[in-house]
Amino acid sequence: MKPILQWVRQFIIILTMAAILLGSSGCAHQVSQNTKKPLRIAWTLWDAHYSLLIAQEKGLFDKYGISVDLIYYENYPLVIPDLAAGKIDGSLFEITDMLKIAGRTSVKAVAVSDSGGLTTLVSVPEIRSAQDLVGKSIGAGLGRSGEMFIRYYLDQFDISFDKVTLLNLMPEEIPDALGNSIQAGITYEPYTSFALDKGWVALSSSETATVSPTLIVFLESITINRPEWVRGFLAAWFEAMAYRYDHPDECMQILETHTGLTKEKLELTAHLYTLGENRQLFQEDHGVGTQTIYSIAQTNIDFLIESGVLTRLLDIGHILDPAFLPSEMADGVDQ
Amino acid sequence: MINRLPIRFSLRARMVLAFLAVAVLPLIILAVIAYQLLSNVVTDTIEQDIINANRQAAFTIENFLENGLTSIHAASNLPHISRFISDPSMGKGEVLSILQSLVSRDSIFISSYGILDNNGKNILDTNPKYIGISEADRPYFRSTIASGRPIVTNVKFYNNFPSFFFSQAIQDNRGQNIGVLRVEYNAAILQWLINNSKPAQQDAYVVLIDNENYLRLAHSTAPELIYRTYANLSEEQAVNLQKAAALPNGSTQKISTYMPGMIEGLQKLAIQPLFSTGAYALDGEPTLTLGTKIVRAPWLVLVRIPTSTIQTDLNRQVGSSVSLTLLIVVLVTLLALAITRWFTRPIVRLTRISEQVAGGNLDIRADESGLDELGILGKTFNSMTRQLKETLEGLEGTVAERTRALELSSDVSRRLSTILDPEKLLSEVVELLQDTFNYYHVHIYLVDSDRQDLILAGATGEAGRIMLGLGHRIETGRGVIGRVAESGTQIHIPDVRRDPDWLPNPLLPETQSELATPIFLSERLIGVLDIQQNKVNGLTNQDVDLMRGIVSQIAIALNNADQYREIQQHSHYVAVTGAIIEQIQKTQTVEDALQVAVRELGRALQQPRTMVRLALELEVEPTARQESREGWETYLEEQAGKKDITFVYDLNEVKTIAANPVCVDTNNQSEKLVRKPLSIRGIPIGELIVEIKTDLVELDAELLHAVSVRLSEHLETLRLTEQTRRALAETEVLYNIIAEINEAENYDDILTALSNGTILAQSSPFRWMGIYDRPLSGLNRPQYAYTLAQKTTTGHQLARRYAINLLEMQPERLFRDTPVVAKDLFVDRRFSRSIETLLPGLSELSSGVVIPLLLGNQAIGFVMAFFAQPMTFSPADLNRLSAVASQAAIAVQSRFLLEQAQSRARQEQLLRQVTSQVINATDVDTIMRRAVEQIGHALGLPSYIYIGNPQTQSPDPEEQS
Repeated sequence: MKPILQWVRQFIIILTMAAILLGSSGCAHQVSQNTKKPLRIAWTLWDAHYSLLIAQEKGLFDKYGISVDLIYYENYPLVIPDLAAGKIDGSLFEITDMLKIAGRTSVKAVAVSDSGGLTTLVSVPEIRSAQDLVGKSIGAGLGRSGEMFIRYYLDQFDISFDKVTLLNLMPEEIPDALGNSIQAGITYEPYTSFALDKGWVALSSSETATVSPTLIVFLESITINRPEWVRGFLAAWFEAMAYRYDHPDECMQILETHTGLTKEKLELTAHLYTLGENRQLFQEDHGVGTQTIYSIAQTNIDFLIESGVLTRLLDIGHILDPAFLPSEMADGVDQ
Repeated sequence: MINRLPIRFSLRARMVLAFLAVAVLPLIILAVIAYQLLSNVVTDTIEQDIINANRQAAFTIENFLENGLTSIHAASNLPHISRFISDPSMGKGEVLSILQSLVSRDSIFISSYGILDNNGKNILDTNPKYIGISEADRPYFRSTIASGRPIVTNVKFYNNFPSFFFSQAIQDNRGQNIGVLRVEYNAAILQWLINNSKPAQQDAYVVLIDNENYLRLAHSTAPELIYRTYANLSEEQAVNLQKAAALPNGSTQKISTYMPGMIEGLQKLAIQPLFSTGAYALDGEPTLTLGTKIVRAPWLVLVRIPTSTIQTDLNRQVGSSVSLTLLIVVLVTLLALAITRWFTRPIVRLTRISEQVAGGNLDIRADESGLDELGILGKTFNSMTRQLKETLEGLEGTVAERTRALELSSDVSRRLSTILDPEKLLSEVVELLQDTFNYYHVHIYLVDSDRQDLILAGATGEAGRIMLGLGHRIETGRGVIGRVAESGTQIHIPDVRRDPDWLPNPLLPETQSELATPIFLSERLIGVLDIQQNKVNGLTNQDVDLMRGIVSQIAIALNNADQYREIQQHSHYVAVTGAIIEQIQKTQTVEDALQVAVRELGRALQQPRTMVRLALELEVEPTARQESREGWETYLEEQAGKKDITFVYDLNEVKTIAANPVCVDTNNQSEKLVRKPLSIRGIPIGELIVEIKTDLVELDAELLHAVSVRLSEHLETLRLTEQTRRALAETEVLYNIIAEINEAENYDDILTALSNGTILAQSSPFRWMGIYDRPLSGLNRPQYAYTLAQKTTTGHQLARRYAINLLEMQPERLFRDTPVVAKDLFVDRRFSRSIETLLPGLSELSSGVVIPLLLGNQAIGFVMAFFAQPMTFSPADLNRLSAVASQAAIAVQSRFLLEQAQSRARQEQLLRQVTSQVINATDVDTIMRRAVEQIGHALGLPSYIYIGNPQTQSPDPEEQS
């Protein structure tokens, strides 16, 4: 009798184990779907982007366990639709561009990379002052920081925005367009230097940097599916930035090799935000008289809505996400 | 069937298995059916999902195109624009603002808005780079200006930048086409659109391709494949397409990812929208593809799903089903365990109680409280247990009695097994049975197979002694015992007065009941055991069973006793046989052996007369080997010419008789003879004969046989030994004689030597050795016999020679190449003439012999001898005489030749002397005289010389010799 009852008990145990195994097999199938392709990150000839080259060269992405494909774009404007279309996973974008993309595609801005560079209004030599701009055509990225810059600039001199003609030109297009279709244009380095080399003059220096910072932006799907990679990317970014400050000569050598530009055109014009500054920028209750990334973003949203580029409200709290900022960094990184 | 399995299943286990079978079998059948249905459903569902995804993607694209076309159509109708074309100097800034506001509707993907005049020249554009450039050769200008309808172009790669265009003709107030409004879209928007149309089905993906060059324009999961074609392009085709801005820059290998299955499917899309493709390098595993054509643009929307996904889905569904099934099985098992426990607990309890009852605990009781069948079963079980207990208690007394009987039976059997004498055994049996079981009378009859009846072999008491003394017998079939012997079955008569066939025995008047039991040994009836009791029903069934066991023991004991007796007898006979053979083998001569054999055999057999006989008149098989027989013939011949030797033993002494024992008269005609041949290798040389009163038992026959065999062998050995010894002695004698002959100096010595060692030495008054004038051989016969030597005691002097015909009446009667013997000269007259010639006047001779002197096959002479008494010439005597004669012949021949040679030498010397004397003579007379003197001297005879006619003066030839 007893051996048979033991046999029945063993039978039940085996059946139960088989059921558990079969039930768990479906879950295992779900997990195996997530393959880890390299992150596709776009870069252009923009001095803030060069930290990406340093990180790649110094193996910092490998150090943090991620794999990154850096994709070079000759024209920055082409990066914008490609991120919106999901052809790349992320890059550095002006805040206005990031907001425009966010209007079409779910993205996350996970860090503030730089101040946006020294945006400059260059013009033909005949224009000596702001007043000379009346009735002229000015090249600027419409619906972007360039348009915002020119609006603020004209506003300072009480010149109505209607008195000028804005043509939609990207900063890199400005040097060639000057004297042809436009008499003035908004650009930044190295294109400012390119324009000055051609005999055009600088009408202003950057005064709107803080309203057009550059953000590190990823597709939201990346931050959801591969959050550790995003954290690794930011860790590598900040370490590369610190290395760039600490080893300027070595980094300049690296950048010359990769960009083919001269040292002068590779001088850092923008202010790169450290991890500490990022933490400050991402503090929502920052006090009176100081800017947070949230307030800057709101200013840009207002501008975009006003200019008709943005037709719907965006959830800034959702788009700006400091959760991926590294919690601790090695000495010297968090400057 | 379950019970045939190696595992022993309890009732509960069987019920659990039954539950499982009832639950699981339908589940399995349902699972198989469900699998088929599920397979179809999954396939249909996935196909439907693909169709839905395809429709959604196509709708998204179509909707986008529709909006784009609508938008550009609306913009082209703005009067500012037509006015601006008519007069470009009018309102340029305003028109540019309008265009920029149009761009700002989708500043991400709209690259530019531009106005082309009637010649295709860009007269105003939101992208200043394009202003002033001619776009007359662009398809969006040519088609639009020609047809006036809005169009969407394919994706183009002007300046290697992927874009497509919406264009719409601008008309003046009269409806005339005066220019074209076109908008350039970054082609990335197609990827964005496709991303927003991802199918719900996992692993499925959407691809938007160019219908002309099969160029991927968007890919929902692998955007890195965008702007690479499925087509197999040659270098030339690729370059031409790149020139036409239909392909991006880059090598053919990079642009072209040839997938023949896909191309084939795409070409048949109108007929078969759903098709399968195999495994390719870029698209991986085999895939199911559904394609739909976009109406407003030359594009195709493809929704693709790996075939393995379908199977994976199916497996997942099946896995769920199996999990559910297993869960049900587990639940059913648990439920079955609980239910079976409820069902089987009373039965198990009752089983344990029954096991205790089986173990001897009859006081335990089952639960009777239930009102159902189990309660009834408990009551019934308890009732059975009570009855069993009562029965067992009653049986104990019976068992005690039976045990006592069995002990007694065992004691009887044990005692029987120690008795080995059959007669004693039977008397002991009956006495033991009577003493042990207190029967009135016990007796045993044994079957007499010769007379086919039963004879009393053992009986108790005075009655038994009397009946045994009378040799009491019972016929088979008569009375109780006879019936038992006939039927072979036990007969029990509880009351003899009630049995009409029962026969009373006056010696046993008190018999009231009787039990007769057949005794079988190996299914053969050997007797009947009969017990009687002096009261009615005095013999019970217990006695019946007891006697059945006892008779088996009796049969075994009898068999043991018989076997013991046989072994004893056999051992005795073996010992006797060995002793006789030992006695025989100690003997040194044939006669001793025969006498010892007949005496010892006679003593052992204790028959009136025992005889042994060596005789050769017994018939022999023609093919049998003859050596032994010839040897025995010789032997018997050597035994003074006996034909046979016979010894007889009559329990007193051994005597020899001459007559054939068959002819020996026997006083008692009832006695008969048993013969056992003595033979050597199949050759009979004699026989053992036993004159018997009673038949020989088997062992006696074996004894006779063994003695005959061993006696034959020993006789043969003795004969061979004796003959060998004789042959050696004969050889020695011959050697001596021959040596003497060889040393002989003259013929007399030869005759003497020849006579000394042979039968001739026996008082022979006449011995004569002669030589023929020419050898006797075949047809050659000699004429004369010359005397070489003679030894006579009669005083007769033999002549120097005799004519042969004077010595025998008929040729070849005496002078032959073989010995001629006459045992009795009075009867045998062959020597008469010789005697008359040689020994005239002598008549006291009794026997004679002529031995030829043989050289090879020729007889050169002879030895003749006469004897005064009759002689017996044995073959050995003749053989020896012949052998010696042959040797003598050689000696005679040698001497004869020597003498001839010597004689010729003397003659030659004389001749020389005569010749010399004659030659020396001077006249005829002298010559004649000397010649006759010398010849006479030489010859030792008177010599004469005649001169005249020889015919008239013929001398007597006898004299001349």
